Amino acid sequence: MSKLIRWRYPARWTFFRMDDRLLLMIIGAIVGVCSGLAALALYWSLETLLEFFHHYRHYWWAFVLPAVGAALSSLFLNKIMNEGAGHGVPEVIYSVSRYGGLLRARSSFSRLISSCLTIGFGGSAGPEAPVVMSGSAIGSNIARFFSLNDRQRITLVGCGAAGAISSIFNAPIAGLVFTVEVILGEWTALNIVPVAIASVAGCEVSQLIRGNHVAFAHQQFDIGIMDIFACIALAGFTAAASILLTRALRSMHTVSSKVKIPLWARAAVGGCAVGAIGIFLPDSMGEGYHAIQSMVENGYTPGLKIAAFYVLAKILTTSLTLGWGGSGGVFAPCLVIGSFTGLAFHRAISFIWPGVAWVNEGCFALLGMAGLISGILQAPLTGIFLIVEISGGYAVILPLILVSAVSTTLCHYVEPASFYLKDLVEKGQLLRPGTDARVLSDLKINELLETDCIAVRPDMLLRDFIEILTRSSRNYFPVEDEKTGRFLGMIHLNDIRPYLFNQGMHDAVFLEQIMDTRIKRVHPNYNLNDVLQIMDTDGLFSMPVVSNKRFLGMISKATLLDQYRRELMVQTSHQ
Amino acid sequence: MKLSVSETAECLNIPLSKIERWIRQGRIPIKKSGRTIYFDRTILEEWAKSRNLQFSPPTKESDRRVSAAPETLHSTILRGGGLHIFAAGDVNGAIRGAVDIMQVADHTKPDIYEKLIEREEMSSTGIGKGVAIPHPRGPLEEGPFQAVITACLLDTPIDFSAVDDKPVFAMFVLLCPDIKIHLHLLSRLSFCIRDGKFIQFLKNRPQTETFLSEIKSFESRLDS
Amino acid sequence: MEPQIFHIFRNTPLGRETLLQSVYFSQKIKASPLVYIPKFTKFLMYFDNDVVQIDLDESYLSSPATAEEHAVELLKQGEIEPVFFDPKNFTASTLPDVPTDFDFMCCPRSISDLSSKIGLGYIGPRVRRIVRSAHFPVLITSSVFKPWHSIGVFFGGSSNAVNALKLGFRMSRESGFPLDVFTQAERRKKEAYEEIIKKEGLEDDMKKYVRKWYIFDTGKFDENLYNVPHNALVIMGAFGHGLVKDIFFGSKMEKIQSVVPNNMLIVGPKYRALS
Repeated sequence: MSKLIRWRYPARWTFFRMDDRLLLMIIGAIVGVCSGLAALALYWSLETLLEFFHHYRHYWWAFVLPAVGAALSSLFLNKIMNEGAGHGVPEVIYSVSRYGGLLRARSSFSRLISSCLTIGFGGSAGPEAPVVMSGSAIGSNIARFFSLNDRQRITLVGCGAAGAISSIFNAPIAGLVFTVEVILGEWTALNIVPVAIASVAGCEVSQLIRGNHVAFAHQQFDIGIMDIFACIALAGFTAAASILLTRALRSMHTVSSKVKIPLWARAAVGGCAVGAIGIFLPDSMGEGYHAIQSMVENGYTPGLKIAAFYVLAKILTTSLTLGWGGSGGVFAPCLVIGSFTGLAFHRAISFIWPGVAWVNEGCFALLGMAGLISGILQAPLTGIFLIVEISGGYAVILPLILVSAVSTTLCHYVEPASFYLKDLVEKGQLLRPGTDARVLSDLKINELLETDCIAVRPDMLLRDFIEILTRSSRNYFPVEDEKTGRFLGMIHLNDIRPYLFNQGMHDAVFLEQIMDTRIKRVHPNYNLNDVLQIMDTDGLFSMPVVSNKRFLGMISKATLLDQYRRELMVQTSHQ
Repeated sequence: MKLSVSETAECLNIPLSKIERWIRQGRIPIKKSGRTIYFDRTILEEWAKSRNLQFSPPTKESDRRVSAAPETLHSTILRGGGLHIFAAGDVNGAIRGAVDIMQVADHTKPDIYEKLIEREEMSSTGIGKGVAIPHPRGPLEEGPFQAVITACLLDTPIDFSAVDDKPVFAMFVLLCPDIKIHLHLLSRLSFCIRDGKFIQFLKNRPQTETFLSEIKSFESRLDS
Repeated sequence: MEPQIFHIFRNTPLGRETLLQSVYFSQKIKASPLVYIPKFTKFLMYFDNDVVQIDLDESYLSSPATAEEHAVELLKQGEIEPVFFDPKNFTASTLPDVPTDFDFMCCPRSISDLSSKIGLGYIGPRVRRIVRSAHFPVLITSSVFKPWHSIGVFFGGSSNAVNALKLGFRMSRESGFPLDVFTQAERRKKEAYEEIIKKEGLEDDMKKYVRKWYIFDTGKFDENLYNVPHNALVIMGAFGHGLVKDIFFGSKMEKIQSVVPNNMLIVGPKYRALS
């Protein structure tokens, strides 16, 4: 019996008294395996569904299929799981930055199923974001089960994300880099090691079950100096495609939210449109890995115009699927759009300068992918390492770095925040570790309250007040009603300075005549950011904190600086 | 050594709610026994040092009590041996005389004398109405470690180049272990001297006992 | 700072009774209610080590046009300044976050299922989860507004029960109502309970606030519950033992809440006692 009770509280196991780092590594490995399995589960069910529906693609009514899938997935998310739509990565980042990575247990499988429905039925979306969400939720809930603290929980959330990415792409470094660059936003030894281990664990799981299969088998690329110049131009195109995709997604979302029909019907409308396009351009449906495969292996037959047209078609189907309420991410569509862009670009330059010995199409498809990933996610390292790993070699590293860097920079000019972070940045919710916003959001007003002010009554004579002045160490005095305790106003030393040595005034003036009743006050629920804004615009150095008409204390810039500095030092120093 | 959460908040001089948040966020090294959380002092001190935070060890109850009881004129004059009466010709002589009868360790007296004269040369300590308050500029290194006031009356008033140019007939020599007590005693003394009755009372050359009781009654008025 | 009680307003007759109960509670202990009129059927509460999604039933969204008006009217009747909560942070666009640093929270017995289930013997799973992870006690109201004039604490000796007792002292001090303590002695003698009180240093408070300490040596617990005054606010600890023990032995809380229709203030295992 007592043993059973002990098992109920894992936080009390002696196992957890051991070293913090070792603990995180062990749990990180477990999380990596779990999220790797989740990723594989989605992968397999997608394969099965696609296989199953393959036979029905030729019927005239096939265009309804994506509609059914999107409607089902929207119903599942909104009615059964009661979760909002969206691909989930911003939610993970939000939770990591504000709530120590707390995620709901239901998130660990809900997106898997809903995105499986959307993509399996032919919607154009990627399985990566749902898998990242699931992996993160698995990590978060394992941490919760073991009652770990926020810092450890955030690391495990990262472990989940890394395990998922590395398992689905069989790319451990990409998993690690994606987590650090996009999810966590900080490189520290404490984070990296468990995340790396989880990444390896996730990858190992995938290799055990799927076999060690590098997505695009090792190919020989001979890259000449002309190709390097071409890359820079290619980066321009990929950046344009990224911006187009971002804009299309957003405008689709605004359009669809204006249509007053139920969410599932909205998703169905989007799905129908995707299905209709899919009849003519079948490669723009689904997650699109098969198309990428044939492009990289130089086996894609359609010509330049069709490839270029596919870039636009894929952007359209993706935004129709996601913008109208389907479930999934943009990662895989990015790869598809990227490879079409690369392919079209290659065909165009071979057409214009047939004499130059360009490297083969596959290489440009790969570069296009990297360009799109770097452009949309504004995470150049993720793009570089992902392509290096899925192409199985460093042959393309030089143009890869070039395309990624240029594409990220160009996109940054037009869209300052990446696709994942845009909403968060707009709402001011992106609180990366060690930043000003983070420190300010962590500090609460009641931690800064100075409560050693002496309260005075409104009917007090100046003479009595001067008496109190000699005992006080502060310049501010709150005036409170004697009976109700209500805060009436404030007296600052400056207010009485002119009368201080004027004996005649001492018995003639009551405090209520001097006090400042219109002084700006703050409520303890205010954000420090807002408080500082008020202080700056009004040129104040301290303000009274008032709740329900009662004076609680003063908040001043001096104390704020003191506490801010301590907070910053505690948050930014790592051992 | 174990420290509780609230003790730690006090040592680091940080609000309790902040410490609790740090624990939740995993920013501060903790130890657990069962459900209760505690801190290891050596680990905590090292942690605080590496983050540039002040760590002041918990103060003991007895230390606080000493600083809590403030000095009064009565107690310090009593410590100085009550009221002394002697004759002197000039400022140096008066101070020499006061130092000679001072109730402090003998080996410190030359230093005290030197410091008092040094202060006097900067500007006179005669604060008017025939009263002077010689004192050194800062606390003396070799003591006294408790505040002492040596109250002296001079047989004949001497020229002290005081602010109001009146000859000085009474001296209160202040020796304090720190500036705070010095200012505290000085403000009390000036409160007494401001009163014309007190000056008159001094001019009548009271006995030590009556003098002390008069001081006491003045102070009780101040404290009320 | 005044204690704050968080109230989710439901613009239905049932919600009116609940709000009246919160208003009465606030008047008695001089708390200020913070009223949330939901605009979405779900919200998240982030606790220290848990995140709870609360799915409200549709009745919370009914007739939003009059909701604020009704709430203001009820609060004004109770001479309380209406303060409304407006969520600032959103996890997703339709998923607001509700802070968790209140001093009390008012819940009906169930907030996520249909109102038909609001009856004795049933506390919804979300309410349980709030109780389990909250720092604050949860006020579970009776279905019809009923003023209370005394306070009854169930004290079984566990650490949670000690917290409940401390809360009882605080409530009695703030409201001025008499306090009764109820203990069902199982296997232990009266002295054992007194020992616990002594160890916690609560003897003085016991003398000061407690009107009567009922210790039942005999009889079934359910039957003894008849001694609880009908107009008492019942305070008790919950989930102090962990799941396993609850399944094997049944929990006292379950028993009490299925028999006693009074307003209840439930103290969870994470509650931080303020004295």
